[in-house]
Amino acid sequence: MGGDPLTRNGVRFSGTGNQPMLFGHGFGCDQSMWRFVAPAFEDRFRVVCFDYVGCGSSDFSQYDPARYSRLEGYAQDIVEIARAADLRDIVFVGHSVSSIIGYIAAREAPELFSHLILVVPSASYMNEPPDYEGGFEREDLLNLLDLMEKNDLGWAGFLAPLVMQNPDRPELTAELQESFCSADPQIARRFAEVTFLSDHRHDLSRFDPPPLIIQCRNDDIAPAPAVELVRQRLENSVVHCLPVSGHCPHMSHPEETIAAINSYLDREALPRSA
Amino acid sequence: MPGPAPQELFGLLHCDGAAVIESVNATLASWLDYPPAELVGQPFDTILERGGRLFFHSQLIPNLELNHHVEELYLNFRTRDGVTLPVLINACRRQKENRVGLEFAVVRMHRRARLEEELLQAKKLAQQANTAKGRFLGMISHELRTPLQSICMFVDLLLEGAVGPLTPTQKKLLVSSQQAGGNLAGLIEDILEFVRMESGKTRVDIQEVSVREVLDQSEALFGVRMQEAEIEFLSEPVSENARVQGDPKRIQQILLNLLTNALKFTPAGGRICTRLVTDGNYACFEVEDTGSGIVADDLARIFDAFVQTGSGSDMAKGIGLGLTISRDLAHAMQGTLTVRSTWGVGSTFSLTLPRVPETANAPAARFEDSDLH
Repeated sequence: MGGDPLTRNGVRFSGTGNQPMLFGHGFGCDQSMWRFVAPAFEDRFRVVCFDYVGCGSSDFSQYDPARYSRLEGYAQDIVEIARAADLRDIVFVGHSVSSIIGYIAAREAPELFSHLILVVPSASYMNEPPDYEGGFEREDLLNLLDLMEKNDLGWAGFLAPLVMQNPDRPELTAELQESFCSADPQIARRFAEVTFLSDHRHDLSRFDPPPLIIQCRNDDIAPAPAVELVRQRLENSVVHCLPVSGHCPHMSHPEETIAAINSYLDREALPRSA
Repeated sequence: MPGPAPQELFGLLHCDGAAVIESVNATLASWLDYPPAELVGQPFDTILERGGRLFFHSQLIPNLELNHHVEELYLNFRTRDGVTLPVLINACRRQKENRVGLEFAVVRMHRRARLEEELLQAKKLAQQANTAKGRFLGMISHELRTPLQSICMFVDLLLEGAVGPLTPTQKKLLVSSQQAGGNLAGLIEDILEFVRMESGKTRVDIQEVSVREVLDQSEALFGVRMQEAEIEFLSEPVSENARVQGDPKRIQQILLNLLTNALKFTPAGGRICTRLVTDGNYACFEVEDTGSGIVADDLARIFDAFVQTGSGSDMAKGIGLGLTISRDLAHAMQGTLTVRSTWGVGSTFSLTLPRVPETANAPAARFEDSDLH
């Protein structure tokens, strides 16, 4: 894989601390989804945000279908970012699919990671009756892909990339306004398939020190049985259930999310935000 | 259908920040087959198919949180009886004091959705057909190239006298064979390049390129041919420091294509001129000829693949891929390739590329003869 991982993944640094806190965004958005939470840790941590290839400010041309056909490929990006930026003792905060990607990265390169914070994790989104309730059937995923495709067909430029290709009027590209949650539509659809079809239930096992799992009370994407399975597999993990609905507590309820992370940092005797 | 008859022409729905329904108008409630009061207090997910829930939470909600509004979004609602209701929505996130609210305006789109479906299917079929065409062209070109290389090699050997002296007639026939073989090899290379471009496998190596060197190279390559064709060839002087951003080999490839075309279509006694025109952040290579020109109807399609204006039957004039390849290469370098032309007067092709400010004194890429073909 050519190219500098920091450019490839649009890595941005902020904060004044020494210990890195690395934020991984979930499917459907980009690093901007952490903008309500990450700044709260800048006084104690070196905050590092990045985009998966195909999202936000990443280098879309680096998208390699084979590499990114499995979450392990995305995890490799995280390891490469950490090595390129010389990050050690990482506190990794991952939302949704990123929590599993971060776990895989930490398992591959444990020497780089200190703590894992998993926000609304699910190790498998597909139902497997009678024992497992991931929340979805294969048909639901096809519906999602269909909706993404139709919206990509031109309804809204919903996921239009930050810099659009405007070959006939190149002067326009510079003037386009920044929009958040941008992604290459085709890559986004492949990311959706990889995200929602991957099953990592049997890859999860005890991780030390105990990871934090942040759960929402009513979350259709990561329903309670799915989160419970992650908790069980990680054995020693700590669950903090937020009294809020939805799948994006870091966006809808940033203060509660920050408080949950802070109480975990306290327990683990890590620097907490002010 | 329960509830009062629809009052408004569009559906309206309000949620709190956690996407729990706070109010819904009679129109939307009747479309969904619910009494309005029954939906209040329910999560938005109630009126979505499960796949739609994935879309709603992973795509729409983050978008609303960050961008605060979404327009013309296609979504499938689910009625009380589980029937799919395709809708188009505009949504926004409003914050009043400390309260966040989500607002959705909804229109039904049964017929549009069906059309949309057909359009998508047609697009997929067209893409599949195009991929198959690309594969076929690539395969057949490879198959043609190998025996052609043998033929050309044997003709070369014969012309070199490897099997004995040639009579003047034999030599003349072999030279014709050699030229025809060269033309055919050029066509095959064009097809392979076109297939590579269509499949997105063409890479460009962007760097600073000296305009002077590009134009000098073109002049060196074409000067003699222009003289032989009795065409006046002018290269207007350009500043030694003029530089553009691009791939030097690809820029040269485009200019060779443009000059070859100009040569083909300009009669003896005509004139071909190259120049550089700068405009703000862009620099434009122009190739102007006094050839036959292009009729207005053809102007829009000369960059399309396999289009050859005029008679089009003359094999030596190509199969209409050169300009398609050149235009796509220009796009790959963040540039453009355009044309203006008057029938009977001549044509001017313009390759526009990002310009490097002239104050920059960095060394520009140099050309080597081996780069050209």
